[in-house]
Amino acid sequence: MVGAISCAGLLTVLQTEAAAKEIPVPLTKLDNATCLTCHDADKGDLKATGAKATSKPLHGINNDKFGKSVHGEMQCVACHKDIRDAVAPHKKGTGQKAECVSCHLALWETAKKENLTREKARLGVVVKNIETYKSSYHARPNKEDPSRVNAACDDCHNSHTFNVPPQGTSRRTDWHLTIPDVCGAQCHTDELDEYKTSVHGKKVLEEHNQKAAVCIDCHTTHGIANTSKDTFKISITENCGSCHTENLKSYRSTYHGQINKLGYGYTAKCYDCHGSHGILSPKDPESKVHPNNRLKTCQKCHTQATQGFVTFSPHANTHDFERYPQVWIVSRFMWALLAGVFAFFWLHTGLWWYREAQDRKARRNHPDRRHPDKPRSAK
Amino acid sequence: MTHRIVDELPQQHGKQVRRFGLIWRIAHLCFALSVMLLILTGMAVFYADTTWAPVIMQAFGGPRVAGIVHRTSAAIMLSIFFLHLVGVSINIARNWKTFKIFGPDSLVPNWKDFKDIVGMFKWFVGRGKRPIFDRWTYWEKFDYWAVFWGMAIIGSTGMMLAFPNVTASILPGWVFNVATIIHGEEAFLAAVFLFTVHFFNNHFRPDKLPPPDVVMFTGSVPMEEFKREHPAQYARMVETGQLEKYLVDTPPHALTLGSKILGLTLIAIGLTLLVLVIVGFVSAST
Repeated sequence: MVGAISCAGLLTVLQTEAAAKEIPVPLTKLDNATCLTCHDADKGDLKATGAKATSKPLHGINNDKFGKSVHGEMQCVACHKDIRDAVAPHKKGTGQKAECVSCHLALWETAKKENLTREKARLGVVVKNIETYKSSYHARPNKEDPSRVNAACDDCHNSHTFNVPPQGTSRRTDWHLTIPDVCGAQCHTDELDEYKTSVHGKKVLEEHNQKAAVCIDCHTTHGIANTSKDTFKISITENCGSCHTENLKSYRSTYHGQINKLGYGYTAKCYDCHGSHGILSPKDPESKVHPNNRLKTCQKCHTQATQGFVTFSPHANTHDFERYPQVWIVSRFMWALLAGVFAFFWLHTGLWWYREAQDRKARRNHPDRRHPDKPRSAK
Repeated sequence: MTHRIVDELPQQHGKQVRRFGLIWRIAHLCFALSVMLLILTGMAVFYADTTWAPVIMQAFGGPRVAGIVHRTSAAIMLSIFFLHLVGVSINIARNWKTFKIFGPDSLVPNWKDFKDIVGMFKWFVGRGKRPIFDRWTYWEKFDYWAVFWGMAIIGSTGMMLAFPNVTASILPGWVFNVATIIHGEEAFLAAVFLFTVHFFNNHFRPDKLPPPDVVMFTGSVPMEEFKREHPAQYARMVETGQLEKYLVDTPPHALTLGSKILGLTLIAIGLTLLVLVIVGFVSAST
């Protein structure tokens, strides 16, 4: 009896599933090898074949690179759930088109259920990145085509080859150096062109120096924000400062930096003076902060700025006598003044407190001594 | 000697001795309020790194508004200071024939002040009697002249920073660096001095407890306290028959109570500001 019910139940499920499929295709045939018969990038120019073949180029997969990627063990149709046949053009089923988020969220949920969050910590990072991404500028609908977002996961991460090398390896360096291309090759082309001329761009692209800033060092990665927003304007100083620590510190001691620290983006920030994508060394005669160009740069905000602005030091410190002698002298003088005044008066205050309290106690014990101007009798 | 004269005088029951006229008291109150606003708005920038600074800024509606409050307070403070200079000049000019620059009614430091400093330290360590003070003690004179120093230093650097285009048309740019340091450090000095030393001298030392001392709001002190704090002036006034001139009725209860509330409020604000500054100082040096 019980068996009959469960059999009937199973039958219902199978029937429902079959009904959902427009064309019942044996899925076992749709393995990666089947896909690669057409989509193998190593076979050169890929063209769609079949009865209704058009000249549309096919998406080519480099199987070697795919195999080395984090998804290398996966079946194509595990992500491309809407593909139901092996003929061109594919008759798309109702399955979801390939996308990253739902799968990664589900994997993390499973990991949490199985108590494997520590072993699969990386999955957690991905989920966190997804959350951050959702509030980013890239996740917003595109202005020209609102059906798609500004940039989806695979616009930056090639999902077929994705594999971020571990930190500290030379592969990581190579990977890091490709980032300007990831952002600039297709989408932010003007910015990339400008970046190539900058001190950062030259270090990265010509000298392969991985310490020099690439796009994400300033703009962040998943949480990338609209640059006209105050939150971004405030955070960018921290981002520059994560490499240029001394300069951030000295900036913070000026009014520009103090207001920025308070959470307001309207005072001068790094890029207001130094430029952004096309940033140059201050020694470069073309640099916006080169003494010859400085007044013009100041006048962007201080429209009435006069000659003296040029010799203001926006990054002065109190410990470098060679470079900032006036600041060094004045800060030492102020410290001495403060120390002197407080040393004298706090000593004065402390002793006074003690003596007056003692005298009061004595007066309480000897009522005839109520007037301090009256000569005190010997103890 | 002093004592006998005091005791023989007809007792001035219900009388107090006037120390500060109405205009000076109003000036002091406005001065205190403007300085406190200056400290609050200024220290929120000086200690921008603290967690309290952004809260203050938001409460003001942003640094632009806080900046206007800062400059308005500065204008009030400087106006009071300059009006005071005019008032003092008129007073001195009127009494020019009898005014002694180094006399006991003058705020100019004299030889006795230096002897009093030494005398106080001797008293502190139990090696002498407490000095007999006249109208102005040396710490009161210091408070008075410290304002001149503060106005000159904080005021002038503040002006440089408030009008950068004029400043930079005459002076080199490093004056902004230097002015920023001097303005902030000197303001720190003023704030901490006022809310520790000035508060202690006038409100928190054992003879003054419990706070507040309301003389700056009522204008007069009880005879007992006057005799204790300014015995030399008392003796001088009795001898020259001037005391009567300064005797006033004990202020009405409402005025005394109001003054106490006002005094305690200002002290509470001052101590709160002191805590904020200390938090800023500690977090800046760690």
